[in-house]
Amino acid sequence: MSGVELAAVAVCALPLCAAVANGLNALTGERLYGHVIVARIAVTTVLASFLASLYIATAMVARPGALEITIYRFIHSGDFSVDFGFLIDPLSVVMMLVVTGISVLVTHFSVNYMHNETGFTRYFTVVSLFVFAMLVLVMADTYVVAFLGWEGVGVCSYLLISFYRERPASAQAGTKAFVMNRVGDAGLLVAMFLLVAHTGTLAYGEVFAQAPDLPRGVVEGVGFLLLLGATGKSAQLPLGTWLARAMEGPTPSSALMHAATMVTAGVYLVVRSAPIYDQAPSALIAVGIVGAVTALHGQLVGFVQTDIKGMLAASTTAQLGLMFLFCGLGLYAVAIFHLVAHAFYKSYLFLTAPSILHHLHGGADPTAVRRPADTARPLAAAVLAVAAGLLAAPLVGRVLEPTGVLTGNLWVVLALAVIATFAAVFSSQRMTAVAFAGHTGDDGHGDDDETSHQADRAGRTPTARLVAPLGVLAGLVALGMAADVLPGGLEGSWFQRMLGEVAGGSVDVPLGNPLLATVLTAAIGLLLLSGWYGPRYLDRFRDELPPSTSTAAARRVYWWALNRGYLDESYDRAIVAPTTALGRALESFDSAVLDRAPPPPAPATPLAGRDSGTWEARYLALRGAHATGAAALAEPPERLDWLPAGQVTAVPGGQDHPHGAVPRMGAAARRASAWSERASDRGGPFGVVANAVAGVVERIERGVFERPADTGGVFGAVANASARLAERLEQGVFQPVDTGALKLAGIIAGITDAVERAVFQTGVERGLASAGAGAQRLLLATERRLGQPAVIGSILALALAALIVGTR
Amino acid sequence: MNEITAAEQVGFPILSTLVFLPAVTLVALVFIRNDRALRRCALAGAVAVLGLSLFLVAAFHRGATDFQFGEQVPWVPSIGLSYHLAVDGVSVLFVPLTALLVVLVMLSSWSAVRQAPKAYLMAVLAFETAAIGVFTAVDLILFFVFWELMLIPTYVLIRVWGAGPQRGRAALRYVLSMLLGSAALLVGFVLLGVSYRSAPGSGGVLSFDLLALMGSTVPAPTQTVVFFLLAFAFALKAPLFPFHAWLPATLLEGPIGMAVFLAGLKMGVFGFMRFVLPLVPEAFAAWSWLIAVLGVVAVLYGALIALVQPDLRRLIAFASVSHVGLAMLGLSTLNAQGVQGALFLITNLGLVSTAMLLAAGFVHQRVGSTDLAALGGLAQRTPALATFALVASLGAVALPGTSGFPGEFLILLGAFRAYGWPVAIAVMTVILTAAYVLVFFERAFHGRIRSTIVEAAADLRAREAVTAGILGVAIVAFGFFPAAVLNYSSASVDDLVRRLDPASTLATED
Repeated sequence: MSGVELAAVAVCALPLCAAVANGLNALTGERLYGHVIVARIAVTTVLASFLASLYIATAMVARPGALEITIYRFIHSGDFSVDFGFLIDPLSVVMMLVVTGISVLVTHFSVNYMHNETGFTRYFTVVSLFVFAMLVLVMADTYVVAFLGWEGVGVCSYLLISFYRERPASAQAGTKAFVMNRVGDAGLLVAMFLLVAHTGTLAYGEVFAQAPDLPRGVVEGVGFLLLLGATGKSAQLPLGTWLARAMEGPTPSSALMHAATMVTAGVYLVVRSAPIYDQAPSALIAVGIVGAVTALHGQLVGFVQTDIKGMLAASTTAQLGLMFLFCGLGLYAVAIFHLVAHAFYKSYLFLTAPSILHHLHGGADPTAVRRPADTARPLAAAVLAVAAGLLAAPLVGRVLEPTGVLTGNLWVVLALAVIATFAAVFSSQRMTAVAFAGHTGDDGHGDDDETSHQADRAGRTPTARLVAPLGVLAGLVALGMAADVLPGGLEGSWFQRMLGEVAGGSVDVPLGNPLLATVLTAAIGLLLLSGWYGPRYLDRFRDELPPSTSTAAARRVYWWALNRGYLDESYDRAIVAPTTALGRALESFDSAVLDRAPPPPAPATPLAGRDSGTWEARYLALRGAHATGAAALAEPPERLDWLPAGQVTAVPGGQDHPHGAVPRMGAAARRASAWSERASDRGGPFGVVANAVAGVVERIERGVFERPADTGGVFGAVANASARLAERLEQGVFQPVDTGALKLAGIIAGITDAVERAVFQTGVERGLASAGAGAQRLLLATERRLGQPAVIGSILALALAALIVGTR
Repeated sequence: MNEITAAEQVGFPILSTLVFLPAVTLVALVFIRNDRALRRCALAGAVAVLGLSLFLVAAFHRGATDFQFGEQVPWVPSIGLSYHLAVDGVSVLFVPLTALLVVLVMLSSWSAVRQAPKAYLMAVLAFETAAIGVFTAVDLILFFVFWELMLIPTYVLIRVWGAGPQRGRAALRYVLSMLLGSAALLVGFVLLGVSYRSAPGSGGVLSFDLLALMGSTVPAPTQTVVFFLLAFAFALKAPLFPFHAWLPATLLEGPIGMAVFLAGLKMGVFGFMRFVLPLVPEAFAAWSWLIAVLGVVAVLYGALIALVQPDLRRLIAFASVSHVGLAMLGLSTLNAQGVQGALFLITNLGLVSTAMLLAAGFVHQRVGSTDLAALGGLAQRTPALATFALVASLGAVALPGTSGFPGEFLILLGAFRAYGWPVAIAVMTVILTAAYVLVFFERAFHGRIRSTIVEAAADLRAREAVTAGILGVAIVAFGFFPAAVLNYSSASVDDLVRRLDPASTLATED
């Protein structure tokens, strides 16, 4: 084994060793060694793993080329076999650096954060295990081994979300996250089966080599199924609703898994499968659509969330959506670059969250405190500095080269980037502004440490010691921006060159399904729209808007966004409830038809204490006393004196066990009629489906055909708006385009900032009065127009027009 | 079909030793009065069997398709009966599995069984003799004798040490169901033996020897009849939907020790692999669609019902129905991945079902119930037990990195190759299993503590921890190194698949 191979094995094995050691310690009740050693083992191994990754990275730079390491035969059967092995190429090296780098910072941070927590050892065990699984995921050279890591990180995520196991909400959130991920995993499994059926292998190299020869239908199918898997892990719609609840876990683990690393696994999977997506244009467009719609959802939801972690979760969703969108446009390198940048600034934001909460003393709701204050300045500055990091990645769109499929959509992508930047800056600045500006310094700092659990926990943490890891992160972001490496990943940039053929992206993607392409354009248009529209109407801290139709509409959107689009509720109604009902129906069938024995006995009550012997003995004694048989046992037990005092023993009454055919049939009939009554109340699964369909139709009816009626119906509105917009376009867009896209983007970015200040701080009217520049007036006019519902249609028309112009 | 004798390989009749060592221990127990000595003696016997079975596995030639460690003694020569034991790649791993389960059952019931421990241990040892006999017998009638012999200790164990009030009824029901299957099995076996007489090369004598029967071909009409008789018997034992009704009742009423054997040793599926596939291959191929449909229905049916079970033991029963359906789906594919996946899955279930049932038993000992109404918040008081239950649960979910994954993956892969897109329906089990297992885990182990009994529950004791540790390590180890198990079966399975489909061009060794 060469040095690099040894290092690659060490990268993976070290965190695993830490997990095993700490896990044994946790299982023995922390009797082997203390917390200090636990933390040292965890931090040291991850640090060593990071250093080994760095070594591999330098070796890779010195001698470019992919390296495959086979460790042992994993599964083999007949003509199918899979080896457990690693693939070391630029993409996996980048991911290894991100994973281990963030993990070092987070584990180090956690030592203080988790100080004196009951599950200290358990926490570090799971974190180490997570690092191992994540590394297996990104280093694997076959889909099966990647799937091993994929599920491993899922389990670790489950364990960390439900870390505070005494909280029912955490436990539920964990289960939900795992089960929703399994939906995506099912897709991933079928994708693998499809690949084996047609290529006979699951090794990346062999699959990708055969990809161009596969039938188009198969490749598209694999593309869509991989997307389903990625959707689950990366919290994209429609499977993304688990991420918001995942914030129940300890904050540093949220930073590590639910912001920086694990949730990007889906992006990694798509980029890794780039050779497949190159052959599957429709699936690739679907990736873009999923990304755009998720970004839209995340952005709108993020505008209205009231707690910091909720905002961060929504913002993570939105940024992941953007990564998917970049992938969908064939810009894999940009997506990976955004992934790296996002990992750093988002983990930074997460790690500052506890500090913010510490200073707020009031739980996670920043609206709770609104008094002006000027304490916590350095902290605010730190958060702001990193919030600026939000700017970096989306701005890459600024200098997009008009090539390939993007030719026509150039300005759409451009505008998208600017809008996304604007929205991101807006939300993070709002977060910091609300959190810090609205807080007084003498709010009981230091002397009452029991205001909340989290504040209490953070309260024991010396702020000074938090500064080190936070400083490193801030420094990295600043350094990256200063060295002009941050806007990377584009055609011709060093980042893109480094990723090379792995994920450099061939921009000359053949056109996929035109319908899908149209949907993608429309989704991008909506995303663009939401960037303007959202902050204008959804900011709950703004002064009350004058009542108008658009305000009413905005209010609806606000509620929709506050409830995260009612997705959870719809899933409960449309999927969970019918499945459970089906399960109950089948159980009735099972016990009534297949299992003609007496019904299962009443649920056993908690009768016994610690010792089963007691229970058995008591039971046997009772049985001896009542030689009459089983029926007597339904009576309450006679002797309960051995039970602990205060024990309430509920013996279910009325659970008679019918014997003989007639009473049994009677019971079955009663069960059946009760079930059918229940089913007809709810309308049964079919009723639920019918209701859901009716609801959707009604909503479309109301939303599309009724509302715009006052402006002359849909077509009238579109026509009007197009005419107005064509005029604006002429003045405002195409003329600057003539002078150069770069300049326009610069202007828009500058103006965005100005508008942000003028519009959202001093209000529309004063902003209008004070702003003199023509471009600013143009933007304000657009802003006003955007207030009208009809403009949604026109934006879409515009986007469509752009597509048509571009593809011609 | 060739055979290597035990004399050539190890120099002594190792399989007979394995079969009768538990019986000898059983006899020795009769003369021991002291409770502690009794348990130690039984455990020593069980450990000796386990050690010897591991030696058997180590001495096994992995690349060969032959039956190995063969030993044959004429029994009733006039009708072709002989005492004939041998193992091949399909059956060899079930011997250590059975031995391991017996050791684990003894360890876990060390303090749990207080009533008549001598009789309990004797029943367990009698079961071990019969079970190892079932896995090693290659004479059809000898197999049948061991098969029936299992019923006696099973009945006694359920009837006397059962946990529920309806256990007498459950025990009787179990035995009656099994006897129904046995009748069909016996008729099927006799038909096979008789039809051998008219086969070319048999010399006009009866034979019930598996190896001899594998060398001849059964005429098509007989194949169909025998297929349905055997399939009924083994489906009832497996249990395959819709013959599964005895399992939930038995698991709920019976003692955990017995439940481990019933749910952990999938003898019905083993019977299919041992007799149905090699002896009536054409009928099996013709009716494999039926097996596949029943399998897929069972997978979803069991999972959906498990989703709404409030009691852990009933949940395990329906999970078992679901897993058996998956294994049958694998067998029906007739390709190497499907069949080997099914074999891996049932070996794995010996670990995972056992682990889940033992976890249920530990919970029952502490709380007196396995019903959700009595549980909640257990993990705070019993972290080690919760970890054990979680590992077992994840094994049942077939998570990669546990021994559940390779079997399920290979079965679904084989099924996808054989049937294409319709198998996507069976893949739904991936979601449903995660849902029912984790929802139960969440409600039982997480959340607030709701009762004083849970509040006072103690964590695993030393012997329980050893049991849990062995199973947990095995589940994870075979998850990461499934090839260690697959190596044993690949040669035999490839041979079996070639037998099913002569046109296939499988390589002998991968």
